[in-house]
Amino acid sequence: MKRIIGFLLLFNILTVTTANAADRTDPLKDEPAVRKRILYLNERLEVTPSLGVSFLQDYKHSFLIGAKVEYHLNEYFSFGFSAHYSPFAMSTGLTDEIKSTLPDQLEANTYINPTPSKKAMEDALDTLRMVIGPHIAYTPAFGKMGLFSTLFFNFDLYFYAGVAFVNLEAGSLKKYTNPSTDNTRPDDPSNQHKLHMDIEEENGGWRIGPQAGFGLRVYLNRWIAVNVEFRWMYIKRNQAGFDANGDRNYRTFTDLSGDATFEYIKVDGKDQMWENTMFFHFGASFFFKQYAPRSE
Amino acid sequence: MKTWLTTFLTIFVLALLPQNVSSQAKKKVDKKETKKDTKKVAEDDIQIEDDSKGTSKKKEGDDIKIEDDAPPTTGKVDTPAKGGDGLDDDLSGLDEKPKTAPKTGPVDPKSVKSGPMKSSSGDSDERSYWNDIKVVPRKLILKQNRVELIPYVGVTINDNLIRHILLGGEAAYYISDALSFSLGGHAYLKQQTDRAYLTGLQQRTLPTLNAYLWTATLNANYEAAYGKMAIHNKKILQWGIFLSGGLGATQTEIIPRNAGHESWTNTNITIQVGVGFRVFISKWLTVWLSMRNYMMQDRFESSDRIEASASEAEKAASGRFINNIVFQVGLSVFFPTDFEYTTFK
Repeated sequence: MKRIIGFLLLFNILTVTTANAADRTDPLKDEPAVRKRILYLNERLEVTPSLGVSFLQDYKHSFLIGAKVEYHLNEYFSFGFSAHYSPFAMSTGLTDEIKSTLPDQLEANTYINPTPSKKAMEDALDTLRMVIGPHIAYTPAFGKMGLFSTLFFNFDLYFYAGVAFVNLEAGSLKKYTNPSTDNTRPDDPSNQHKLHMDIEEENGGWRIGPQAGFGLRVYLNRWIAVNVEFRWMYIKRNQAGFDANGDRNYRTFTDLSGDATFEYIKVDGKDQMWENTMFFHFGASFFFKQYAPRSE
Repeated sequence: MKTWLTTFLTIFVLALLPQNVSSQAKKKVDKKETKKDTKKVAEDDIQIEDDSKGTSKKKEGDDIKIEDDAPPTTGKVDTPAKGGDGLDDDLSGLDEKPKTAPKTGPVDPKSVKSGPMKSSSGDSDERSYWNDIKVVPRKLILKQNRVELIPYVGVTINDNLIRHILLGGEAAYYISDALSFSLGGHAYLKQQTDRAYLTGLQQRTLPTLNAYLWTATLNANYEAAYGKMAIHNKKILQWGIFLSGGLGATQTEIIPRNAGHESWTNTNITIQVGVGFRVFISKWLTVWLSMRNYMMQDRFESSDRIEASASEAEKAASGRFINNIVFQVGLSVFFPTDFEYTTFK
């Protein structure tokens, strides 16, 4: 009997030990990393007025003012719409450098030397005026940061993607040109100091393209955050306003001196190329409703 | 039959007995350790507010407040930093939960999961011991007296006409957890952009371009901001933002407009300023990002150069201040790969 009880005790110890070992898994497995956190986003409306500036632009830096409105479905996903207007733009270093090498006025015979003048080059450039578009956003990360071990903030990181509608103000190169539709020969004295160009499509108007970016919200309290955002857009444009693909129009003039065919540089939609346009936005996000609860 | 019945009952009783005994014992231990820990916490100047005094003011759910951003070298608790609006209460515990829980007494994971528990005696919360206890665990990753090796690639981002790809590396030594000195350098591979071609076609001008060859700098880096973030509220990552400044040299090479002209090289004193970001993947491996401006006074080919020889053209070269802004990304490895805390837990 003692042997049986001994065996049972041994058996019991072994089974209980095994069962306990099986139970000793990580108790925090599959648990949320953070509890009792402030739910800054869940079912809240975010309004973010912001200032923006383009960067890595070839000819003009645009300054933007506008706002973004976004509704957060939960802590991770949201959708919204942004609209920004550019009241002014500034020449880049490249523009200044190119201008410094250009003549003050167009050559008399631009067939021989079609180099644009400083003013013609500058006036030919397009200007970004407005960027609007819807987007969806995803906020995968949040956390806490300490600045100089003194100031502590909550923050989150988000990514977004959408469609951008971009309004470009066209340059005014036409006034420097002698188009093929003129009834005067390009070598006519009245056409000196003019570029023999056909501007069939100016470099302005609305463009559509994808936009995407990412941003950081640093929370000052439960309903106000500092917002820094990077925006990338990919649109078709002809920034310089000149011919880019080398295609030509030809027109033959017949007069007393005989037939003569002249070529005119053609500027049209085919001279547009897909280009990256990037911005940084700096703004303040306001959340409504103002109260943000905590998670469980 | 009698034997089998006895065996069955014995197994049943013995199978139940250890769990009951262990759970009872655990409760006793819990009480003992809680008292002991409470006393210990008080001795360590960790703030403990009496629940009976603070309950009315407390927000619901502020169970355990953990401050984990204290300097790692201090063994005692600092006054909690003001984050405003209870910010410091957030991310409480994060991934330290397994480490901090035994420190202040065992916490039943089930009770953590299910929230406040009602006791049989009718007390509002058995875990009221924990309310408003501020604990400062040690910093998870220490860098002091460690070496960081950073192989990186990069790209220049502020020249519309010529782009350079960077291949390089940096070695840093941390004299404190925030301050390090490093020696870094990289070589450049040049690529002319479409705009360089179009500038010639559209504006009928050939831009003046220099190619970068290499840069080497001695840097001082200071980690100005640090924090941690939760990815999808699951994975916790530690990160830091550092400021960087340095002095060194950059060698550049003239790209002649006329292919028949000779080029020459310049070696320029370079000042580096930048900001970087580091995310720890483990105690010794990080993803490293940096945006740096290598500033220098460079010399360019004259716009009206006619001399074919480099020596003649160099005399007529024009100088210009250059901001060479680069974006760098790399993986950094810390040595030694592990570290030891020198202060009490």
